[in-house]
Amino acid sequence: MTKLLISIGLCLAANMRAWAQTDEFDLREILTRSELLQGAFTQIQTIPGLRSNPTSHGKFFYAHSHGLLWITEQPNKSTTLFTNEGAFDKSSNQAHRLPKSAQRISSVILQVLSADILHDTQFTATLQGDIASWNLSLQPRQKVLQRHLATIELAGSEVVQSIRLVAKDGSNTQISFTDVIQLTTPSLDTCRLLNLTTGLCGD
Amino acid sequence: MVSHLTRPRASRESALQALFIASAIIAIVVCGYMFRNGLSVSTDLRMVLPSGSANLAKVSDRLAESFGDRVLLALISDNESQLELALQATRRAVLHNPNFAIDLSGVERTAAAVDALLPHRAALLSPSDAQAIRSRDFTDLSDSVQAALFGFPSDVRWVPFGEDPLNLFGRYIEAVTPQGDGAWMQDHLRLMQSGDASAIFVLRPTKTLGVDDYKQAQQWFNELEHKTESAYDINLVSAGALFHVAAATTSARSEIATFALISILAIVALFVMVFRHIKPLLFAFASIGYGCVFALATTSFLFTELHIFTLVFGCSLIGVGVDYALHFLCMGHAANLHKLIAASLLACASTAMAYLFMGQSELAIVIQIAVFSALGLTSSWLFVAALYARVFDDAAPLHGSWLQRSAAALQHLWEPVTRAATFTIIGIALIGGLATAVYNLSVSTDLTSLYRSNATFVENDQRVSGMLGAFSATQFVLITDQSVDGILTTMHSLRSGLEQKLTEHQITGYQLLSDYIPPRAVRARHRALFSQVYATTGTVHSLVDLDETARTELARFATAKDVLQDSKVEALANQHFAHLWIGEHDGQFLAAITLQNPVRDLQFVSLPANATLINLTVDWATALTRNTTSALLVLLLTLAAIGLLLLIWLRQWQSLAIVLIPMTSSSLVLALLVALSVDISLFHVFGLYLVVGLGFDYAVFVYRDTSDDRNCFAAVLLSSLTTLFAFGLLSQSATPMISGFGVTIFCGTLLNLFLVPAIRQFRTHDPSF
Repeated sequence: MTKLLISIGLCLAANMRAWAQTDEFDLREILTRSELLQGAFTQIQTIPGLRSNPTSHGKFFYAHSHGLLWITEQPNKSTTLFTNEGAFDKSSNQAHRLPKSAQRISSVILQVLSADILHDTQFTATLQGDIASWNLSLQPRQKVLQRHLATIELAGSEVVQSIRLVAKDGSNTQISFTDVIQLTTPSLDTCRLLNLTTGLCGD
Repeated sequence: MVSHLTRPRASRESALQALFIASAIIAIVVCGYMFRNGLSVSTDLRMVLPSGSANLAKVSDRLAESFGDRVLLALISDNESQLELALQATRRAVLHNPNFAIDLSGVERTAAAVDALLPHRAALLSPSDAQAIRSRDFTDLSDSVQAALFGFPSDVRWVPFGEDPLNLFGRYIEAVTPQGDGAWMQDHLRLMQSGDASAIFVLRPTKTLGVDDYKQAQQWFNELEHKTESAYDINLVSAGALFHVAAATTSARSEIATFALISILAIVALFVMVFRHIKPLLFAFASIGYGCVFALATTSFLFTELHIFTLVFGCSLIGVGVDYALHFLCMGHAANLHKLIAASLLACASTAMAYLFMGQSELAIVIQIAVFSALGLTSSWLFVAALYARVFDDAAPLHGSWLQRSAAALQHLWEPVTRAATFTIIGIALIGGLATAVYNLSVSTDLTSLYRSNATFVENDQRVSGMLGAFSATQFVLITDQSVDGILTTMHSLRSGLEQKLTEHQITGYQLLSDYIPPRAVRARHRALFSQVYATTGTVHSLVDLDETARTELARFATAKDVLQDSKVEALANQHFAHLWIGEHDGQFLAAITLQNPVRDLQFVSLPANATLINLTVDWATALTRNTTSALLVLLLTLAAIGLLLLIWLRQWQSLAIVLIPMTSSSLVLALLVALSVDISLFHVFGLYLVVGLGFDYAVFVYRDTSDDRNCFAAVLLSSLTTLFAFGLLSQSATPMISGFGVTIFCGTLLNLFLVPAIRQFRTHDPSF
């Protein structure tokens, strides 16, 4: 009898783990379903010491497993590409590599956006909700990041709808995404800016 | 008449016994000290290397301490999930090992250093920011602020925005931080290189490791490697000084046990064959034992700790120390005893002198070996000379026809040759040997002639330190100055030269203390620039709209006085940059500029007078050559000194012929090694010292006018056999310096045995000797 109970218990535990894995797997699967996404963003920073909250608007292109192109349009124009190879300022015709610290952030950003972060030891992840409306909270475990970053909070459904970064110095950044669509025929300019030559940008 | 003759002898014997009692008392006292404090055995392989100047030794020690006794465990895999599993298993294993703990002191030191520098950030600007502000070109800074406010948040700030809107301190930290590829996680370093993910743990021992602990630690790491690589698809690489020391210790201990055991068994067999009585054997072992204990205790007392290689060399004492017992047992007739004591004293003095001349070396280990050996031999002789008459009434009878025949053959070896011919042959051999040696001599500059590290360990060290981007511990720039600011100013002036080396790929990185803490003049300039930007009417306010509180606070900080005095700089440097700041020594301050992956022949076109480019590997090799060459010269001095001693003692010009034997043996050994294309190392030369000493021993005994030639040659033959055995074993050592020493003495002893009988041609009749 005891053996049977233990076996049932073990099966239940295994299945519970499988259900949990299904939730995590679904989130990652949802976030990586589309090869290329395009959308608009509004970013508001709350920084102690500033009279007003810096607000910017722009658009983004996200190709999972490749990179994020962040095009700020207001109040200033700038174009930044975040890839696993590093972060690049593409505002002018000549791209130049951003400092090492930005490059570290770059790889984290990409992992966060694809939910790869759930399987990564750099963060302690807490996922709540369901496929229709989920919240993911991340606390950094990396020593250097811990000094600067308190939490990263993501929320969304089929796509990431908002990101909130809370820094240790009391400042926080709220990014909201709107008009997010899947892009099936990217322009040549978009492919060039993304440094993408394969997949949808292939010949 | 008789009483007149016997009185000096009696007083000599009393003096000897008194001396022996005094030495025994000393031995008891130091043994008591040793038992109370324990015998401390060092395994520090740096004792084998030339120490160089005191300054260099301090710097080298400090750079080595950067990792010191740490162990680096690198887990490498192209499979992230396997790496993660292996990482967890390794972490669990380390946590369960009470002898090691995960070390994060490096990361904590870096964080602590940043925190310590924060209050002084007004004086700390990156070179590019200082230049930009000076030239009033704020384009880059402006772009940076705009990106921070309106771009995707990717700014790393050490200070809240309101206290440093332009992130000058963050940019300064970025500029001075070595640009490695890794990122520190909670307890390990994570890297991604060439498609492989790696995780490196830095472990530190939780206690000081003793000789026994090294082997256990090595076994534990071997098991960990085996288990982890079997269970997961990863490669585990261990690196650190611990493995080298463990290998050296294991090898040395094995050799001590093997050599000592075989030597003892050989001596037992020889004594059983020759004397066929327990008493001579016990007496001989008692003399060896007394010599070894006296040497162990007194050397340990004088040097605080004994090096394990000293103990390996000490095994050879067994074969040499027994010589005195053998001579007395073979020739110790009551009537001859006083002459035997005189002759053996001369022999002991020459061998001890040979060892002590070795002690003029720069190598710490050689000085210790020299003292150990000289003390051991002298005390063995004293034991025999003082106690023989009390234990034995006469010489011990010799058994074995092989011994009689061999001794006879040896005795008559040179008889067919005339005195003139003997002198000519030996002269030609001496000159020929010297000429061959001098003409073809190649002095070794290779440090592996002293000690050869395990190739796998060296490869692991290089691999893991390469992954970490570690700085070289043997190549650096040494800066000396009377003042702290002088050091920083000199370093600052070398920056452009170092950047040039970086561009030329002669180095892949460097660390300057003056980058972290600029010299006073530069700090003053930086403060002025900082104030220019952050004062109430500073440039920053045209770029960023701060509220009144932030504006006031910023201006207050920007105009505050500089509190970074020299003493504070020194304290900061001592606490947080110990691998760059050595400190004060002999009234001067020392600091080092560390270099990453320097090319072997790195040179600077010009350096200030207080800066020196150090290449320890080259310096050690040069020191080795210098030591070897001077040791060869001192060997000649030794021979001259022995010749002088002979003249003073024997007052016979013919006695100088005694010096010819060891001279010829040593020159022929040197010629033989050179002819076999052996690069002559310091320990080959030290071996020659002992060839001289032992050759002299035999020559002195044979030179004596005695009707007991047969027993004398029996004693010489037996002594040679034990010496050949002892040093033949040493020649099998895995440590090059020990095997070189052993080979030299083995060959030299054979030659001594062959040449010594020729001395009979030059003997005079002197009843006093």
